[in-house]
Amino acid sequence: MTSELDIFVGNTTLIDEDVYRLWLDGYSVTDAVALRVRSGILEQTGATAAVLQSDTMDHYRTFHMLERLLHAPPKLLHQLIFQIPPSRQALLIERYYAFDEAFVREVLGKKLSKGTKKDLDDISTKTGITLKSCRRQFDNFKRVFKVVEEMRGSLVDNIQQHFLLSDRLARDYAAIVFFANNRFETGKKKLQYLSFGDFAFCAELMIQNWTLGADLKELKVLVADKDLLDLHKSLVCTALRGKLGVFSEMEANFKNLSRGLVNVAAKLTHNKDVRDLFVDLVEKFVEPCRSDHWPLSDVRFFLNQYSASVHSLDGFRHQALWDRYMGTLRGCLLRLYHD
Amino acid sequence: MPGKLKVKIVAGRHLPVMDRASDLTDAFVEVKFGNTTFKTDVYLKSLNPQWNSEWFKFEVDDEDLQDEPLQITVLDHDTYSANDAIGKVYIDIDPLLYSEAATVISGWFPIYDTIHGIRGEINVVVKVDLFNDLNRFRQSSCGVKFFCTTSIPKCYRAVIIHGFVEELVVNEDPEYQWIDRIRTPRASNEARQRLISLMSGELQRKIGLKVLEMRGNAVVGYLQCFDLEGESGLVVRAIGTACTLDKLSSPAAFLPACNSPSKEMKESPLVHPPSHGCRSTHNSPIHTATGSRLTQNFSVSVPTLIYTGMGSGSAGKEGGPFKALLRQQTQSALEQREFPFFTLTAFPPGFLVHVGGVVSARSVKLLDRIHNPDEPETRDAWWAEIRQEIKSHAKALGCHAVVGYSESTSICEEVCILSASGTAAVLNPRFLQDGTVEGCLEQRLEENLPTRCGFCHIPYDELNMPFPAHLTYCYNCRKQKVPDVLFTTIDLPTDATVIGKGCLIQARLCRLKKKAQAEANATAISNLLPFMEYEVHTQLMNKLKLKGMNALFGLRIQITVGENMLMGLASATGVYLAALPTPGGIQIAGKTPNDGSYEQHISHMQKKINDTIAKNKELYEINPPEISEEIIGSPIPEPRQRSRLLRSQSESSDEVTELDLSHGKKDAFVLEIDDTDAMEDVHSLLTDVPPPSGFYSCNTEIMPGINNWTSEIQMFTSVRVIRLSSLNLTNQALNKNFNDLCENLLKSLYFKLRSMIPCCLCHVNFTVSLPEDELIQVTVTAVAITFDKNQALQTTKTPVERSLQRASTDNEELLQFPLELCSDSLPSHPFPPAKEHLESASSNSGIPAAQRATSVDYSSFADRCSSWIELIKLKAQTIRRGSIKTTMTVEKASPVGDGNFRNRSAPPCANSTVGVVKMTPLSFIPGAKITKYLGIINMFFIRETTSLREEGGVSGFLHAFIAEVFAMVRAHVAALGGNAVVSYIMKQCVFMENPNKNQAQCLINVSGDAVVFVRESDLEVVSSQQPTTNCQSSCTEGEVTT
Repeated sequence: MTSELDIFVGNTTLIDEDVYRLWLDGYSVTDAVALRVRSGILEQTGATAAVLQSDTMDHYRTFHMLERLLHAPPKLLHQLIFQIPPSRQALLIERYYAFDEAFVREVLGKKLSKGTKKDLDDISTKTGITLKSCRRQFDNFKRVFKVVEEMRGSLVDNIQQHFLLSDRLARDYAAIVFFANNRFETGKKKLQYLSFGDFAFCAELMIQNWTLGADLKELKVLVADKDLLDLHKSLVCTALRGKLGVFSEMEANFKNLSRGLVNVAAKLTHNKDVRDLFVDLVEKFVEPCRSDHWPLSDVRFFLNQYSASVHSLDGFRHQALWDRYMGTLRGCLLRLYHD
Repeated sequence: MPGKLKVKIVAGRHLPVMDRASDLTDAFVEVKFGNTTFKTDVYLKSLNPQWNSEWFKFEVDDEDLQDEPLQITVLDHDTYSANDAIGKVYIDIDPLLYSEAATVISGWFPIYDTIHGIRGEINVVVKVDLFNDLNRFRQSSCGVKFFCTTSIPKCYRAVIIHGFVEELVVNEDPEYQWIDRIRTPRASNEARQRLISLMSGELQRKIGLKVLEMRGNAVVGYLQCFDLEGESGLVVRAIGTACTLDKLSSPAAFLPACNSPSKEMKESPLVHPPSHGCRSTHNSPIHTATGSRLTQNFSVSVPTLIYTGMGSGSAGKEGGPFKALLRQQTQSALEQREFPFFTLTAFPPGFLVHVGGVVSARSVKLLDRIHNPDEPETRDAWWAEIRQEIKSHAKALGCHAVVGYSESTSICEEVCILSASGTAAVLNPRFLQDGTVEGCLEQRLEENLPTRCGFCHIPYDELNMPFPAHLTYCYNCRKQKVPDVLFTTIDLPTDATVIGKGCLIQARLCRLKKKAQAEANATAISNLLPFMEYEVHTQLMNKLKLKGMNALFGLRIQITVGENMLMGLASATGVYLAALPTPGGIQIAGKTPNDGSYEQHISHMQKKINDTIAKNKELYEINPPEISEEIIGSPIPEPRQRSRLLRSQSESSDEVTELDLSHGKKDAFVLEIDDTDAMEDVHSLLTDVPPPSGFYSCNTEIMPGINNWTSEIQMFTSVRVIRLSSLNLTNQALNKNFNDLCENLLKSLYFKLRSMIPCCLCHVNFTVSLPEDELIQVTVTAVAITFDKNQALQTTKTPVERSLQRASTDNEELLQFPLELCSDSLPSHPFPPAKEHLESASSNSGIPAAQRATSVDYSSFADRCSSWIELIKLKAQTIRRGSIKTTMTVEKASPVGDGNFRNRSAPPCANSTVGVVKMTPLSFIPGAKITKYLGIINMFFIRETTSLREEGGVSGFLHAFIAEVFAMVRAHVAALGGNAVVSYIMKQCVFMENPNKNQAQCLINVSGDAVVFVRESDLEVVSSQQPTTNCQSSCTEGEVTT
């Protein structure tokens, strides 16, 4: 006796959160059944393995049918085929677009192209995330990217409107889109200590405060003009003397640090060099400070003073630009400054 | 020119891409009614076209309005080649033809294609202007209301219940016409859908005419079926019960739906005090004579059969002049009718006087081509023959009427089994005629105290019984005779006293049959049928006894014919009726008594059976009071007498002559293990696994013993097909396979719905079909309803304990769910008046109170929200519908809790634009009140695929199709302004596959009543402190209330 056909259709579509999780994680029906058995569900419910198999198949089939709609979440809301309470719809969408930290770190800043998709095999092996799940996550990134790429207005709002994600998740996607668009390098070994959260934090600051095309080259004068640089240094040192545990290191390194920070600004005007933003920040600022064992509080003191002192430089005429630049950069650096 | 149909095409959305080059579609719409077609403009390059058309107007006869569906076709314009069809929408405009139903159909309809399924949606507005037609000889029957519900719909009262209406129409099946060889599958499917739609329209109109002739205005319990006879044609037939219904207008219409029956009896304008037990009310002396005792039996008359658990009556003799009068009137009222049949399964209080037992008839026919579709005489004659048989069976049981009546067919190639079944009954003539018989009779009835056992009392003469049966005095009133077991096809009457809970009982059976042609085949089937009926009955009886119960309700026996086998599946809900005697156990007897090990085996089995019975009694809370014989005044029981049930057909006739006049109540049911078959039976008895804890199931509307439903419901359809290995097919192997199939299916359902626990599967409806040689298909539709466990457990507590406990649990609940005002705020009246009646009545007869405490509690936690609130709700409802963007309230219908998610950040999609439409096979919605019936939903769909693998195989294909059918039903209901379908039924699900060709086809036919309901909790918010629970009990039966 073999079951040729075995289905269950509810007027309200049944969604089993656990099975949904297994499906999202890319497990085959067989694996999912095995995992469910291991969870002790048979003992709890007194069901048989055959029942579990049938149930899992049914849910997988439902999810498969829903997947097409999940690709355009507003469709899920307006479609008539599956009657799903709104809270469940939200859950389906949110979970579908959720991603693994390990995965996102691998593709963050990469071009969301076929080429990258081919590397998913390796990512899967490296992260232990099933290839199927990697594909879903990658396709989600790409889909969101494609939809909002050309859109005007707030990135987060656009994502939220077209994908009905929670605020948190929409912000994460905004970061992913922003990184993919600017192709920021995040994979270098020295950047490995940074989490997706770190990058997303920076992305958010940058999206909010920076506009492309601002003439950041104007800031270069701060390091190019030797008098200005010396004046800047003396202002900072005067203000921080006695207040910084690493004062002497700071004093010795001031010019290098300042050059690093200002050059980053200059590089932002070249699309090609933008990619190296995080590498530069880490190389030129985070690493030198870390090797001198600056505590985070000292970094904060320094950056505040470094940024504020420019207001007292009479020869410098780009105060507003500097504030916008440093405001964001300070936020990023403080976030990036950890072990 | 009696009517003007107006249609407006507003917009489309989610259309499929028809032009690969642009990824867009140039869509336009054709609107067709009868022979007139209109077109919209082409809306270029859009998947969400906004046509906003003018009003297309069709001027048509109302005859056409009834017959024809409105046909809307969405096409993709193509300049150089033929336009491509995207899909169609058929809209039945019948609901617009009677004034009380919908006034406009407006909403998004799925665009359906028989090959691709649903492809986007279209927004349509439809209206009808009807002109008054004074022509008395008209052919139309506009204005006659149709209900699938097999009880008097809420918000109506029955003035007269006229009786049986039937009609059938036949046609050639387009699938088998010569033209089908040259047209596409799509064209063929659409021709079929259109034809069936036309035929059902015609059928409904003709039935309507019959109703008008009878001076009725409605058909209740309308059941329409299709017989796909293949080469020989297509038959659409329908039966129903003609009634004259009165809309309960305000304020009566707005009485709360959920008061107890007793309350309704007082308040409803129609219902007079319960005359249920009218027989018990006259002053006949207590009958002390010994009851007769006979073997439970049934006749097997090829090809038909009656069986019944029933006993003798005392009609003329005992009943006195009053009884005779009643009988006479009923008789005259019913004899005017050709067939005194009623498709109702639940009745207004007082309607049902006595129940005789199940009557059924089957006949095997050979199909031949229907030569003249306009004169479907052959089919008519076939059914007339069967109905005659049913009628005579009922007469033999001393009954004038048949209730819970239904008809069905099973077709395989050219052989067709026609089946009819119902419950023989004696009815109160009051509802059957215009108020002529009222008067003194009425007075007499009203004077009497109500008893809840009247329907159990045997309806015919004890000394002239058509069948031998065990009889005892009614355990409730002690005055009338009752049978030891009662089988019926109806729902449990609301006021019946039941002990403990009920359960689903199924008998399953397969019989192999040689493949044969024509007459030989029909003969072979005819010969097998009586054996199958017999065995199905034996199984039912055994299982009933094993459950420790004594009555079956909602019995439905389906016999399915296949190429090489016959399948029998009987489903019913077993209960313990307090009025009937305690069932005896099952005794196993061996035939070779000298074999020691055999004896041991037997005693082992016996022990197992006894254990199971004890366990079941505990599980279903069956603990009837032990009544000593002295109290009931019956003679000293004689030594236990065993009735014998023998497996062999020939012997039974000898056995039944054994008359036993003793009054033993512990008679055992003997199973003789004389062959391997019997062993199998005993084994299979014991393999039926009870549902997991927290689950109950029944195939009736409500579960006896559970009366505190919460509002969470989940209707579902589950389909399974198994392939039998063709090797060594024996009856035993077949039986096992079939049994496993059904049991596993149930187990899967319990597992799937586990998060709804405590819950009950209600109206569990199994259908079996044999699509091919080695395939068995089982389709189940049911609804899972959650209930409040805390209160359910208290049904056996004493009143004081109960109210105390309830108060305390309420407090707990209030803490947890502050919004749920469930209260017992009327502690001074924990029981309705009628209950007190019962108590006083029965305490007079000296029955210990414990017995009554276990009865179903229909306490009237009277919902006394004032009618103006209801009016406001109704108005709000009316305003809301029609507007498409209605935001329905978030409903917690998913059985899987969504608590986890709620705590997370609120996503922006809380506002769904799609309104929730509930679907249920029941006639009510727990915790809600139906305020309006919008019309009948009767839809027929065909789906076909030539890319089966790509659509996920057979399971993927059928899963998607059933989901689409649900969606289309919901969309139609929503467009009518409704928010639920009640009495929903999937009448047919014919699935055919050809995996080698990567093809499959499926036909589905569904029906139900579109309604508007209002949540009781919505009412309660305003009226504060209204009881939230215990409401549905009265909604379930066909009470004429609201």
